[in-house]
Amino acid sequence: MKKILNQRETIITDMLKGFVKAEKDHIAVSKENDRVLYRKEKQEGKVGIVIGGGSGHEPLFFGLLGKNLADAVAVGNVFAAPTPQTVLAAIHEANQGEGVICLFGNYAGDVLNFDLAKEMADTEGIAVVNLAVSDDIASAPKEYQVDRRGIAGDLFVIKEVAAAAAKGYSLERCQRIAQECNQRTYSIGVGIKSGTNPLNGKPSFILNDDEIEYGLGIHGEPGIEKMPIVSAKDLIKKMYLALDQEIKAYVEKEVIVCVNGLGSTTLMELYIITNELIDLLENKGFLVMDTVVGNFCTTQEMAGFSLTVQILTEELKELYQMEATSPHYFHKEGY
Amino acid sequence: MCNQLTIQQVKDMLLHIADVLIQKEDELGEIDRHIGDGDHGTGMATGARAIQKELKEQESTSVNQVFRQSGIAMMESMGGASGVLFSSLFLALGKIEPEAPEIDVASFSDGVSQAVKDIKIRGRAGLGDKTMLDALEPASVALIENKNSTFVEALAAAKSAAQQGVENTKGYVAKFGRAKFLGERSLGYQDPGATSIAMIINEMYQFVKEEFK
Repeated sequence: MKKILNQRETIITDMLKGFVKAEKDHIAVSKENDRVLYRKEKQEGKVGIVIGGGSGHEPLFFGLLGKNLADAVAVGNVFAAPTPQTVLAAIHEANQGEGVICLFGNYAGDVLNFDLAKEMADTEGIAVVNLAVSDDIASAPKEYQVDRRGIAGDLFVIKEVAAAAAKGYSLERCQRIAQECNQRTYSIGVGIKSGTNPLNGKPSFILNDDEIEYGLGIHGEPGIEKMPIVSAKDLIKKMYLALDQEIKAYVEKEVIVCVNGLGSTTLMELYIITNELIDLLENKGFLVMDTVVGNFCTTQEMAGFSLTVQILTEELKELYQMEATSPHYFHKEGY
Repeated sequence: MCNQLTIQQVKDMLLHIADVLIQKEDELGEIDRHIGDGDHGTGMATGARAIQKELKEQESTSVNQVFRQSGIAMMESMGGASGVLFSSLFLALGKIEPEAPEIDVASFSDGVSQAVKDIKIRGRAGLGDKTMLDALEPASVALIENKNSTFVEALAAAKSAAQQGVENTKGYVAKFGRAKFLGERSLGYQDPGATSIAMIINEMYQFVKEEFK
């Protein structure tokens, strides 16, 4: 393994310390739990937004702490969900008396730990709603949408639910929006080369030079199938056809798109991919309202990418268009 | 006296298990890499180090407390699904009534069967789903059947049942955890969580065998 680290026991704390030093005017470490970071500026009277998950996917999740974005983040070990105590501390930091909504990827570990934290918060009289993002269409068929795992679709769900909270919507309304956002968000990913787990120095999977892993998750879990590498055009077409099965039935045709790099795939490649995807969407009659391209949800230095499409409603569009600022993601209408 | 474990013996047994889990980190990681993301060994070793720290630094006034301290140390350090689910095993043993300075085979067996119930509720999994339960439930059944035997006999039976349970997981399609996304591709591989359970029970057996020889 070739990574710039100190000893493995301090990987997470070293990283968090560096992040907080870089963002010292805006972000601080919770006194209750050093695996919790929160945004210093509080907007009173709003639903609190907690996000979180395992580490190793940076900039998710802490990179989305920001204005009209998340209020607090619960940070887990490498590829492992945060503990119930960590999530509870994040809930405390985000709580302004209007309730808290927790957004995280749909993995057994995250669901277990966030559910336990919610139970603990309930006993303290804090109203908490948990929403597990489940956008990865490769991980379960359409009939089992709620069983799907969460990948880069986290970004759109967090963006829009946080905007709803910033507008002062109630916890119930934020919850409905979160569910709707999640239902309308579809992703699929491809791995080209494994990332390395910094704790054990080992790749999470092995691929031959001419092979790709179709449908893999963001922890380096093997995907649906190994297939030979093909051109960007052919690959995006195959991925689009899978997405089209999910989105073609919608009456609404306006969409937002995220082309997410998994760590070491170049922006050059991501824009080549974007070019193909947008053509396919437009040829099918979709109107692409906005496209986000970059590394938002990564797996260390894994090479590969995911495509995310969200079908907008008028309400979601308005939420998406709200200005948002954070260390690793922003949204501004016009530049 | 071969039918009871004292506070010190339970502590020593858990410290021994922790040592072995740390030694087996790479082996468990390798097993996980086939159907998961390869970090199961690291997670268990993290929990094991937390148990060592807690039990070496803190006093315990009952065996229940030793199990609770270990469970909480795992839950607060590991995270992930295994943090919650493996700590459930020790937390259930910590709930046995009454609080006592020693534990007999019957109480220990009751604690493990309570753990099976807790883990089923928490993880919403059952037998045959390719999880830790595939080793823990047969071990628990073996313990109950041997609740009037010695610790050595009861744990010998539990150890064999757990190992058979691990073998059985090779024939199951994963329904939970990250491996569930593999479907049929998970066939042929043993479940890492079940492997850890079998390892823990085997080390309990090795410990009592030495202790009572």
